[in-house]
Amino acid sequence: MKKMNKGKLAAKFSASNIIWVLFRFILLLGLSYVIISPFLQKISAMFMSLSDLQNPTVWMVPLNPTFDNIMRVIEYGEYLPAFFNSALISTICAVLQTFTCCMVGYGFAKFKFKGRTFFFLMAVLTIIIPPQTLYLSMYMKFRYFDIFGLFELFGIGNIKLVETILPSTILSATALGLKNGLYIFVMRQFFKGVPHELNEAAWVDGCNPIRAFFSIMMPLAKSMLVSIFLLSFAWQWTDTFYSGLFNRSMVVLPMILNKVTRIATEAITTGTMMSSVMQNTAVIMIIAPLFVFYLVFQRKLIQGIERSGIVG
Amino acid sequence: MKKLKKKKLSEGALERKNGLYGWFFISPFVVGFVLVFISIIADSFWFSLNDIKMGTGGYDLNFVGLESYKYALFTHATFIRDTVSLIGNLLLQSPAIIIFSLFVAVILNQKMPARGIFRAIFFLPVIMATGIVLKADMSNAMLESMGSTAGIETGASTTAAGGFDISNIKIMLEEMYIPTEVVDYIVNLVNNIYSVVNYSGVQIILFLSGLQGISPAVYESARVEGANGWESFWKITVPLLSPIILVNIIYTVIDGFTRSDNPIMALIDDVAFNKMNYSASSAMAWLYLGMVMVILGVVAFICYRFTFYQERD
Repeated sequence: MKKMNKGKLAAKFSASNIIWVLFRFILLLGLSYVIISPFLQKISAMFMSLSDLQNPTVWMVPLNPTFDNIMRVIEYGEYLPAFFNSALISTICAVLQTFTCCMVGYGFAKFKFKGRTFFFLMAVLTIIIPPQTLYLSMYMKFRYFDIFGLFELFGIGNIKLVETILPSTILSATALGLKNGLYIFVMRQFFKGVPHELNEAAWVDGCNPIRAFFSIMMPLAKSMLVSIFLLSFAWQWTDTFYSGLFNRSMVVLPMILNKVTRIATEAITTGTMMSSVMQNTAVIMIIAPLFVFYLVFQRKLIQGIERSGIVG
Repeated sequence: MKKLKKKKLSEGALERKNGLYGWFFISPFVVGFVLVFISIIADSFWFSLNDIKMGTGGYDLNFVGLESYKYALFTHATFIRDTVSLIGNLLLQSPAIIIFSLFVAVILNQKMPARGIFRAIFFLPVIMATGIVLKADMSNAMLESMGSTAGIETGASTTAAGGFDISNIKIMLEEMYIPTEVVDYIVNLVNNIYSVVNYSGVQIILFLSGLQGISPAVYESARVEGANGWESFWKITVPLLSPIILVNIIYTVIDGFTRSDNPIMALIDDVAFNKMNYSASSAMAWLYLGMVMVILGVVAFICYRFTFYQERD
């Protein structure tokens, strides 16, 4: 036992291993720099006072650090209400989307029926069609909501769904939200990779497919579901398309960007410099919660979940 | 033989019953698609066949048939040319994105200090993909005045940003008798490292969670059998991950074609919202969509043959 530990230890500190660990670290550091470099400037400018910004000798490190920019975004951008609205909408949409896409993906992967290929292609089609293409027709659909003219027929008239959270909720619950075709595709591929024996075993034991889905398949797909939840939460959080289209009266985070810029240009007459500082501050403040959110949730993405009782 | 036949029969019966369950599982999508989405798509297609006049109280439609399509194809100055060059670019860039994101995902899956931070940093491109940062940067006087990372940000030229001259490497590679096309491809990639990294965010996450699904026991037994890391990567990781590789390839192509920062999408937006020619914009979008679907079909057909599923059909 002791001997084995020694061997392991030796392997850990062998020359090639150390080189690999160093190489890996430097590589990741370099790539991380490529990703965060556009943000560094914004973050440092966030804490700069006006005098720092106008002083050409100040670079990256503010001389007179201040929280003024942040306070202004909170105050003029109505950051806090926007934050809670965003959190609410993103959570609702992300939960609904993750669940429905998982369900639909499972249906496409594990059952054979006529029309499966057709509807699967249609699911992929929904992500190929750029949302801009549907801008006008989508607005009209939810502004005068009606299903095949049935509401009109029964005298209810069409229903105005815009300016509520219903359009986003309906689209999420029916797996038509932002990039939901991708999630369906991912879940289908994942479940296709799960050995069929596992399903059969459950069915033979008298577990119907619906129960098997909830008690066997969903736990199995946990890491995929976490990823999809994170992606859909992040996209909803920063989305300007649906929030601008359906619900202008409800302030969500991406909207404070325009708001802050407008107010900064109107109120502070120091020119474009100040308004872009406000803009950058707002962007960082929109993104920062997501970053923290991901940092917490990525712990769930660890290897070691036994995929199945069957060794592939 | 007899046994085999019997099994097939019973599977058929099971399948028919299970078909209903299949419909149950996909029902949310089917309901939404039929009740909401089809009419939205149909509307958009109808707009492309009409001349739209926006008024204060709504819009007027005037049927013009294929006029807008003719305009996009034959009259518009840059639509076709830009589309063709975009297709070329994306076909070259996509393999690099797939290989890069698989590589990064494998690394980020290994145990190391500060792994969480690195993973979170590689999540940032996903957030950027919605274009919110881009939107803020568009009218950004500060970044310009600070003489900043503009080069690295647009990916236009690394020479200005880092003081690193790629042409030396290019000459070196050419002296080594490596074909010019290959050298150009590599140089192009290095020049565009920023966009390659930034387009790989989603792919990295999907690969990462795909890697979680592979049981460590499989690697363990391979190691006992004497396989080294390189072998187990090709013999275990790649085949078991191939369903996710397929998604990622398809997604990379789709994403490349539909990102809001690519020239054609910008053109479609511009024609619709600045030039207020909504029908021409719809026609362009539909033409473009047709081309994307053909390319996707070809890509999917090629990749499908290399995908390995752990089930017996």
